Amino acid sequence: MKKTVNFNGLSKVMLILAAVIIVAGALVLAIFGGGTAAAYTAANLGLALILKAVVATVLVCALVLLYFVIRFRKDGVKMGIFSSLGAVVSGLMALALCVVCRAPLGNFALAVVLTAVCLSYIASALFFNSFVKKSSRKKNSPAEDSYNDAANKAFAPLIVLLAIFIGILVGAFVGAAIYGSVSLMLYALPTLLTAVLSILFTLAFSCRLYAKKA
Amino acid sequence: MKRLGKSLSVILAVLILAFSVVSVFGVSYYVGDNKNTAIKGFGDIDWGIDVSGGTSITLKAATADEADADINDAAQVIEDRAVSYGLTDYELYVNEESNTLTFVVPESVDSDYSAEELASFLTSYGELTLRPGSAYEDMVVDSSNSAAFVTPTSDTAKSVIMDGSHVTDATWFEYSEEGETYYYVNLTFDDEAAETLSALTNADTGAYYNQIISVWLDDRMLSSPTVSEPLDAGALSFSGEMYTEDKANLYSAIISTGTLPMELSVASVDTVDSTVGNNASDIIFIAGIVALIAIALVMILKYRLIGVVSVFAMLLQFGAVLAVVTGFCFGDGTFTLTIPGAAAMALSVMLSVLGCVIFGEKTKAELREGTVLGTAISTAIESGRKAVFDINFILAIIALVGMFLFGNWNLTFAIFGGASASGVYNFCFVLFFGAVFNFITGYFLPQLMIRSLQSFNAFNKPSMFGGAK
Repeated sequence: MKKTVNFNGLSKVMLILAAVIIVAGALVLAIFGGGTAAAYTAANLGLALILKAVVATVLVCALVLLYFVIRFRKDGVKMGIFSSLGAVVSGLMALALCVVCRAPLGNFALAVVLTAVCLSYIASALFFNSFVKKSSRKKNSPAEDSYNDAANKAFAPLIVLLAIFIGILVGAFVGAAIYGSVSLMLYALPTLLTAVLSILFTLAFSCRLYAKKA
Repeated sequence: MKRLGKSLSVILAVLILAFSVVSVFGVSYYVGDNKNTAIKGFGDIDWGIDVSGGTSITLKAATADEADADINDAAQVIEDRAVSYGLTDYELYVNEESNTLTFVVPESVDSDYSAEELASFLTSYGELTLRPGSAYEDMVVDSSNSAAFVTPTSDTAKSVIMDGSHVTDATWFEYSEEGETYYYVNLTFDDEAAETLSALTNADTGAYYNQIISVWLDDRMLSSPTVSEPLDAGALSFSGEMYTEDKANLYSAIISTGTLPMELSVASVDTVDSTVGNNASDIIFIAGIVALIAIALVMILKYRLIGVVSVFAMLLQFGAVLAVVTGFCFGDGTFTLTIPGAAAMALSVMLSVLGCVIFGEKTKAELREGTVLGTAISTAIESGRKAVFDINFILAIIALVGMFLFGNWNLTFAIFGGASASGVYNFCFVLFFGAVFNFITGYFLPQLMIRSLQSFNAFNKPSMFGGAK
C-alpha cells in the first residue's frame, strides 16, 4: 500500500501558515526594515522597481492564464487564476521568510522569491495534468477523492524534486561553511522552507480551490 | 512499442559526455606564454558583484550651491548610461543625506577598460565638445593599454566649436574595408547645429574645411579627425586607432544620455568584497559537483535505468545552459553570472531531472498495476509528456517577462525609466534557456534513450525500470 498525504486536511493549515508567515514578514519589515545593505537606495529607483515587479506579476499571470485557456479550453481560466494565486502567495511567503530570517533583501532574496514562483507553477501544472486525467477516468467519484488522488500523483515527483533541491542546498551550505561564507548560509533556511511551503501551499490550497470550482 | 537501435543510446551518451566535459572545462592552448581560449568553460565565467566583488566609486556634489540639484537625477543619468552600455550587473545607491551616490561595477566586468576606469567613465560629467586642432597637455596610458590624450591646450582649449547640448543622438557602427574592421561613433545634431557645422566645413568658405576638429569627452580627447568633406548631413562620425566595439559602444552610451545635471567630484574609490564572501565561485562549483553526484545516485537507486538516463539529461542540460552563459566558442567575454543566475542554473538542471522523475514515477505506477513493461513505458511517456511540456512553457513565459521587464531594453526603459534589477534579469536569462533546452533534455532525450536502452535484452526487465524483480 502506497502512503498518501491527506491534502484535504492540509488545506486550512497551509492557509493559516501562509497568512502567519506573510503577516510576520510584513511586521518585521515595518519594524526592523529589510536588512538590506542598500537601504539608502534612491526612492525613485526603488519605486520604478516596485512598479516593474507589479507589472511583471500581472503580465505573467495573464500570459499563464492565456496558455492554460489554449491548452485546457474552458477549464483553463480557473486553472490560470488558481495557479497564479498559488504562485503569488508563494512569492510573498518567500519574501516574508527572508525578512523574518533576517536574510538581506538583495540578489539572493530575489532568487529565492523567483524559485518559489517557479516551483509553485510546476506544482500546479503537474496537478492539473493529473486532475484532468483523473476526472475524465472517474466521473462518478467524489470531487474530494479525485482532488486528493491528483494532488498525491502530482506530489510524488515533487518529493523527489524537493529531495534534489535539498541536496543542492546542502551542497551549497557545506561549501559556504567550508569557506566561511556566513551571508550565504543565512539564506539556507528561508530557501529550504520556501521550497517546501510553496509546493505544499499550491497543492493543498490553490489547487484544492480549483478542484472545488471545477 | 517502437524500439530504437542499441547504438543510438551509446552514441548519445558519448556525445553528451564529451559535450558536457568540454562545456565545463573549456578548451584552451598556449602559444608561448599566451593562453588562447577556443571554448570557454566554467572557469572563464565573468561573475557578478555578488560573487566576484567589484569596484565602487562614490561621488559627491562639487559645491554647496550645486548640492541643491537633485542627486537622484544624476543617478538616473548614470543608470541610463549603464543600461545603454549594456551592463547587466551593477549597483547604484544614493545617499540623500550626504548628497553622495555610489556606483559599483563587477570586478570581472567584460570591458576593454578596468572596472575602476569603466566606473569612472560612466559616472563622468559627460560633456562633449568639438574643438579646433588637437593640442593636448598630457598623454597617459589607460587601462586598455591605449594612449589617452588629456587636457586641451592653446587654441584647442580656448574655443569650442560645438557642445553636446546640440547632439540629438549618438550611436556606433562598424565598417569593414580590406579585411579590417573599424568602429565609429556617429553623432547626430539638431537643425541649428547642423546648419552651423555645414557652414563651418563648407569646401569654399568653411573655416574648418581640411582642418582638424577634435572630439572631447570632458578632459579626454576621443578623436581628432581632419574634416575631409563638408558636414552637410547634420552628422559627424569619428573613430580612433585603438577603437573597439566596446569603446565605441561606451562613448556613444555616455554621449547619448547627455551630461549629469550637476558636477560631481570623486569622494572615494574602493574595492567591494563579494557579498556572499570570498571564494563564492568555488562554493558554487563544489556545490554543483556534490549536487550532481548526489542527484545521480538518488536517481539511479530509485529509478534504475531511467535514473541513468536522467544523469545524461542532467549533464546535457548543465552543459548546454553553461555554454549559453559562457558563450562557448563565440565572442570574447561571457554573460555576467550572479547568484540568482546560478540559482536558475540549478533550477534548470532540476527541470531536466523532473522529466525523468515524471516518466519514472508513471512507469513504476503502471508496473505496480501489472502492466507489461513495454506498455508501461509507452503509457508513462504519453501521460508525462504533457506535464513536462506545460512546465517548460510556463517557466519560459515567466523568464521572458522577467527578461523583457528587468533587462536592459530601451523600450521598457522608456516606459518605466532606467531602473533595472540585474538579479531578476540574470535569473530569467538562464531560466529561459533552461526551459527551452528542457524540451530536448527533459522530453525528447529521455524518450529516445529509454526506447533505445530497451533494445538491450539485459535491460528489458521491469526491475531495470524500478519495478519488482
